[in-house]
Amino acid sequence: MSNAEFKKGSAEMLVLSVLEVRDRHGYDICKRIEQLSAGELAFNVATFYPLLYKLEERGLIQGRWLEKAGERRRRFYKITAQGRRALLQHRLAFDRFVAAVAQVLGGENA
Amino acid sequence: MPDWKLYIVKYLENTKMSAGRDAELVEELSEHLELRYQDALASGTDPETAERTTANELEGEELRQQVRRIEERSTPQPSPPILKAGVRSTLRSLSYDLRYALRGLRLAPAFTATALLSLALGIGANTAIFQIFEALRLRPIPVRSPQELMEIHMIEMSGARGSFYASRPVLTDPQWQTLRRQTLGVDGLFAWYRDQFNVAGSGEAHLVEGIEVSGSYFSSLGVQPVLGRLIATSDDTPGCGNPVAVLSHRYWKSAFGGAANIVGRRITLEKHAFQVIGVAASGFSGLEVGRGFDVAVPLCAEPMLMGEYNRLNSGRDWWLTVMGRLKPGTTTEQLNSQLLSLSPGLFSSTVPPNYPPDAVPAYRSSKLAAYPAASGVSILRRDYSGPLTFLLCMAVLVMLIACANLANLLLVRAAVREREFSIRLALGASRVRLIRQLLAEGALLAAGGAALGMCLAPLLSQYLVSFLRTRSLAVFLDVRPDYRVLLFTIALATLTCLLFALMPAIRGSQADPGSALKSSGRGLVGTRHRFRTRKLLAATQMALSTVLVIAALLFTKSLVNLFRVNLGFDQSGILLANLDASSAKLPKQQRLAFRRALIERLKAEPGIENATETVIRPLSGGGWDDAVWVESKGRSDEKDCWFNRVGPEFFATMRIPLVSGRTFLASDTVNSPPVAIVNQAFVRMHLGSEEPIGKIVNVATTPTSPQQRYSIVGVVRDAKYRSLKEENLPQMFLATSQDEDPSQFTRILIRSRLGAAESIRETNRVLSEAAPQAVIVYSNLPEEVKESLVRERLMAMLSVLFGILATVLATIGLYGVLSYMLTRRINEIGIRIALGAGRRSVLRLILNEATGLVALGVTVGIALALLLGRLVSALLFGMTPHDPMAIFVGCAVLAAIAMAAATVPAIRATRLDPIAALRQE
Repeated sequence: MSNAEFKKGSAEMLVLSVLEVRDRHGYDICKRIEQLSAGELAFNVATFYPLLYKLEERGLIQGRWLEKAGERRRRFYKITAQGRRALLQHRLAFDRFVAAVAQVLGGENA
Repeated sequence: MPDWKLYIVKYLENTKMSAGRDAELVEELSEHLELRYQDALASGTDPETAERTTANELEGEELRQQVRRIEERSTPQPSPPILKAGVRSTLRSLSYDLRYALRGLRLAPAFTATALLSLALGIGANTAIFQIFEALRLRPIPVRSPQELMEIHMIEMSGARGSFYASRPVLTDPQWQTLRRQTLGVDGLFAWYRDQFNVAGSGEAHLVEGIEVSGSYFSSLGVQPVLGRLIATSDDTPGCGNPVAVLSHRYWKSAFGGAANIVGRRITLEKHAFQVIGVAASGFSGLEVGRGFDVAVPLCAEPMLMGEYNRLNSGRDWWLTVMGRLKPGTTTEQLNSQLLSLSPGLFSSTVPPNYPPDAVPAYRSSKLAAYPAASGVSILRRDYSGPLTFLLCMAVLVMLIACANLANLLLVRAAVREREFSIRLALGASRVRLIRQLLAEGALLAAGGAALGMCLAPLLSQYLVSFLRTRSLAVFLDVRPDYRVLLFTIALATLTCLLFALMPAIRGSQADPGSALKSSGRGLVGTRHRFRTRKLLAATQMALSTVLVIAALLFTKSLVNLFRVNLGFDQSGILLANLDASSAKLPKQQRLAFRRALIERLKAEPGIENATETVIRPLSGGGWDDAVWVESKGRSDEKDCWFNRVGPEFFATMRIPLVSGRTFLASDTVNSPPVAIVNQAFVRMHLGSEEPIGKIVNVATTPTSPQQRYSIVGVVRDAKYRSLKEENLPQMFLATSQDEDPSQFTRILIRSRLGAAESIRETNRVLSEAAPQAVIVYSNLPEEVKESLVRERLMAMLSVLFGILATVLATIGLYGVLSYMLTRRINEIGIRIALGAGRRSVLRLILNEATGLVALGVTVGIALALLLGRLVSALLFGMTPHDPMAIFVGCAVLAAIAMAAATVPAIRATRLDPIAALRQE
């Protein structure tokens, strides 16, 4: 995996993992990632939505408009079965990557 | 608050997008920015900084590129293999539009359900009633070239005397025999009569629907057999030789299970054997619409079927319907002038012997004419034309209310979407595209409603036909879905849907997209013109519903009036037995004694309270009338009087009280002077305050009897004779025991203490023992009376149904308008509450609005009801169409329901949280 691919892949992974627990709308996804990373990871509209739409195009997530009583309608995204498989692959790759990095770092210091 | 949609629109300015996608994109992204902005404000950032940092999120090209990429991918590829590019893309976008519309409707389930239900009920009711209307009135009978069929009868029947076997103009056998020998502008002249035949041997009769037809009947009509052959001229010969019968397809299937070997089998009709020669084609059910037939026999079989009451060669029995086909090249006018010129000869040559002298001149000068008969003849048609027309009008009103409802719902929806469409127009979506999308939504609604309505209509019309069917009137209406009415109702629904679904596009095109975007709908008060259409629609619904509710009350009250009519006798527990003892072939002088013995046997039974004979069946609609005058007053006093011939126990059995004098006695015999009992109406008409007992009454000569004298021996209380609706008629009762020409038929009236079924069983046991060969038909008087009101019951039931439907629809409409008004005025009401307005004044604000609408609607409704009242006065009994009680109660009920519906949004308004209300956009 090239570096650029990895960067893109990690953003995808973040979105998918946030959606793994429950369906969320766009801003909610951003907000959750920001919260969990204590503000370290943040997206802006112009970069976040293209990512979201690409995920949808590839069938990893699915968006639909939902109306709740007393609220305006919002587009909620849910993770698809394909999305869950992709997330698993991402996680495995990421774990390998982290382990590799940790090994390198630990090996030099030992 | 900054308008984030504008930011997005600006950002995507040069990106061309398709209609559906752009609005969603703008909505989603602006929502994101707004939430981001709100969060910034909440964390203490000042509004200016918050707006700047939020707007910065839109920096970069990535989003624009992505949008372009999506758009390019969804644009159709060139060079299609099968369809032309244009067609293909149209189909693509059409399916897209439909899917989008479907999604839109799914997102508003309450709206969709209400709209579909309104449409289904409106279309269903209209189609069902029109189906029956069409089957009765409009549809030609299923024979070859029905438009050529002409019916020939007298222009007026004033010269006709004797017995009438149809309530339409018909001819006698001698007239038919003379007519068929003439050369006329018609081909294949034929005659027929519809009757019921008993197929049982003895005991309780089993009646089937029959027709007696002349030999040319089937060949003239062009009806084909499915089995064997049909009746031909060779079967209709004097004496009838070996009598034949043809079965209808329906009867062949139901009574014989469609047996293939039916031809050649023998069936019994009125105790005579008839040979089945064939089965008629399945679509053909005779020429009387709504009645159908089971068995057809040639006219020459009349003496076998009717015995001594044979109507062949009788100039006093009016029974035959005569029809023929107009010859090619002959016009109706030519045929009529032929008939006019042959009339004097025909009527002069057929004057019956002993015809009442006063009627002979009118008989001789009678004239025949031809009338188009493409849709057959029908008693149902005559009886139900008025009610059905009226019911159809009611159904159309319900449909209009449903359409108004739909219009209102769609208008509300439209207003909500006006902004959406402005934005999409601003983004460069083409107007055509928007209109197409709206049309898709309207079309979906109309199609769904029509489909549901089509499912509903047959159920409803089948139910109506079964409602019309009574024991004495077997109704066989071929009710089929009618494409004309279906198209009409669907067109109406579609028009409504499309027109009102298009409203936002029409509004949108009037407004400048820019300014529409700027005004966020946050005006303090909703503009007046926006409400006007909606209010008008709601008021119209109220007005139409008022008309329908008043009509429902009128018909219900009319029915109640009929049930409450004082009959003058006690109908409960009365059983009628029609006994045909003709097969016993009793000589005339033994018949009275035989009948008397039957009555005595019945009276001896413990469960039977009383029994008597009567010639006239009470409240049957028919009767026996002759001209009478009181001898002391002279013939100038001659008036029509209604007769019955009854046994001595008649008045006790019917519980008709004797006012003065006596009832019939055993001493009143053929050899004693003829006596009569009259009712109070007779005394009032002929004698005023004079003492009736002992007065002599003369009965004018009739075709069957010479002039007669009777002496009045008693007066009884008035009672209904032909129908519930009549005024009390002058009546004269003669004694059975003085009948000089007693028949072998007798009608026995039994008052029993048993239930209806048990009473029939018991009576049948006694009568079968006493007269083993007799054929008996039973009927229950209260049931018959109820059945005689079938038309009124139908009207009451359906008008109540329509009234309820209309009220429900109008209430939904009013509720919708008020709820919508509330959402549009939420800021205003919020401010009012914030400024200290009490709950009470908020309640009043909304309720005032509702009261205005209801008052306007109800007032217009009353005016309409008064105006239309004239049309229904003939269908009402014992009241005028301007019955103040019905009008008052109708309006009060409707107003109460409407105000209850208005209270729901009004109470919601009083519970508004002013802060939330002010924040809401």
